[in-house]
Amino acid sequence: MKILCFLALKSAWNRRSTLALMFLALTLSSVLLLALAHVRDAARTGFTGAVSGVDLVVGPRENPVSLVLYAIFHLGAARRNIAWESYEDIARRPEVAWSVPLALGDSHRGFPVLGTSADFFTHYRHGDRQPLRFAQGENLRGLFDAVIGAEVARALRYRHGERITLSHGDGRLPGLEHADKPFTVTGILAPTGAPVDRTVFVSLAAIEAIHLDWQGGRPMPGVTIPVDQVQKFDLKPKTLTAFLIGLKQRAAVFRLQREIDAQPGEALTAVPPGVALDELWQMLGAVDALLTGISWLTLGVCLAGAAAVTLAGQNERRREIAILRAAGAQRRHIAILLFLESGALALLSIASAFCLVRLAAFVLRAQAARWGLGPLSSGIPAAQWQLMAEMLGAMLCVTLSPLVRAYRQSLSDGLIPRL
Amino acid sequence: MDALSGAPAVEILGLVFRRRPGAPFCLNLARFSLAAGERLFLAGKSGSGKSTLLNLIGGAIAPERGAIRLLGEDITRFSSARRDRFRADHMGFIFQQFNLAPYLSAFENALLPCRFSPRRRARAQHPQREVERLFTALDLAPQCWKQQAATLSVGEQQRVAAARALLGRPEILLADEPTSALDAERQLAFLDTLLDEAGQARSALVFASHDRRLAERFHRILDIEHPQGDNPEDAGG
Ligand SMILES: Nc1ncnc2c1ncn2[C@@H]1O[C@H](COP(=O)(O)OP(=O)(O)O)[C@@H](O)[C@H]1O
Ligand SMILES: [Mg+2]
Repeated sequence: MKILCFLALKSAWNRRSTLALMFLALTLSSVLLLALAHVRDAARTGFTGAVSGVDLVVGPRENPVSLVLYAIFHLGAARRNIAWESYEDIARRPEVAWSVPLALGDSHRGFPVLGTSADFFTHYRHGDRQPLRFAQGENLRGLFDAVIGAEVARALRYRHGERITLSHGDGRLPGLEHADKPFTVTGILAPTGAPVDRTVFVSLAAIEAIHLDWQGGRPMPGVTIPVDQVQKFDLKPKTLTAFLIGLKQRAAVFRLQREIDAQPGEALTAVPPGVALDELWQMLGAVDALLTGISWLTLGVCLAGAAAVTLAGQNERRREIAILRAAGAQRRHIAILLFLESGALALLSIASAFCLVRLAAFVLRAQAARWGLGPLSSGIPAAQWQLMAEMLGAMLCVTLSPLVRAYRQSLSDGLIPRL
Repeated sequence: MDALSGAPAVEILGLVFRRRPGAPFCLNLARFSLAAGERLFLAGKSGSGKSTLLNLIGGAIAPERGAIRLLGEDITRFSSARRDRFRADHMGFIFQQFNLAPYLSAFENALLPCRFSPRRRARAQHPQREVERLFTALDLAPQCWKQQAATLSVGEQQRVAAARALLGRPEILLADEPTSALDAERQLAFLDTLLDEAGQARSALVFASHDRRLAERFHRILDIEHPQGDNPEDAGG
């Protein structure tokens, strides 16, 4: 119906400032709802994607969620370590296919440093069980080799062969530099969207080596062990932060978990990542519900505003309807005309909000990755489709109802425009 | 489905209309008919029900009882969608004011009936040229043609409305106080062109006005306050 589109456009253009404001209000309130949905989805994909090949995360006994957040996402404060022997005991068990030790605590220019074994790069999986790939160089070999994630390389403009030094702790205290023991970047990982992008990897032995002449978190006064001397010392690690386990058969996960939790000796806890995710979701559930409620409320307020504006313009619309009917428009033409405008307004608001959220997620992807959020999915998650359908329904109900009233009234008015 | 050529353009039988069930009669018309090409002056004070009768003939509201036959067909038996189509195909309207969609140009406003009704489009043959002809006949200055309706003077708006009502030679023309917003000199000139064009198109015209001075140019008068059934009084001249 060419004429109807023509009339709808002309009529809308005539009221463009009102419609533009309505569009803006609806778009912004839709952004809130969609951003929340996006963060929810991204957090889920980020979390599952960062631990996709891991069956158990084992660390000191504490809250399972914070253990996983620290060991995998490097979020939260440093904590008690576990003894190397505990790790060896469990790693030797027959049901364990592979295990990777993790030692956290140091940093490089704000990026966490992870002491681990070369096995990390063969066993770790990200996203949909993708293995790690080297964009440049290769795995850790020498004592002072370092492998860096894609985001580290990008942000600091590092290339293969770069010489770097590590800071003790999170690097915020001045003077706590391991400046005397520089590392060489021998490998750069391809981007993954997982926390490895933001990590500097070194060997566990290197972590031992740079702390030989340190004690209690500071350099030992008067003692320096130069680089060429460190090989004379025993560089076997004594403690570590946590370790990852892959099992030969996943069915054994919960049995092994129970055995680790119950075993005598050091107090350990083993966490299947899925369980941690569920717990995290439960913790965030109330906050999520609150934010969702507030966002719907905001949309409600905007819709009330839109309805008020539509109601205020109702007499004009009544007159317009009468004029068009007298000029030959049938009821269904009028209905289509009114629906076109409301529908276009709602659809455009939601589509723009969706694009804005995606654009923001793209622009802020580095920041989002720091918080453990996953990368943008290529498709649209089902939950977001459903949310958008609900928003569309709400908008149509509210913006159409005053128009339906105007339409009804104009039918009983007859054709003769009344004041 | 062209009308039976013999049937009157408008024929009303036993018409009763109330605003609400139980309300006092608003309109009560026993018998009345109008032939093709005939012009009727619908007289009555303001508030006497002239607009209501035009709405009934136009099929926009339904009577409580009675038949409204247009071109031989009783539109009270039509579905509302069919009434809408019938109106678009066979009727033109002019009102006292608010005739035009303010956001369309004069030309686009006048063309509207041909956009909604294929029959009107076919009867107009060349709708654009026909609008130009009507605009010229109604003495509408060409610089107004492309102007937004909202920026036209009242007199110009009424002429655009007349052109729109006449486009495609509808069998029935309904005019509700179309001259009341015009000043006295304009009124007669406007009325003469309207009657002239309606005559050429052989349209039956119902012209409602509270201003009896205009009545002498019509074939017949119907006083809505004292309807005389079958025999509306004859106009002078
Ligand atoms: N939509 C309406 N709702 C309620 N009352 C109406 C409506 N339209 C007209 N009326 C009433 O019906 C009566 C006749 O009105 P109308 O047909 O407009 O008279 P006229 O056109 O002769 O001035 C008046 O009393 C008017 O108040
Ligand atoms: Mg009236």
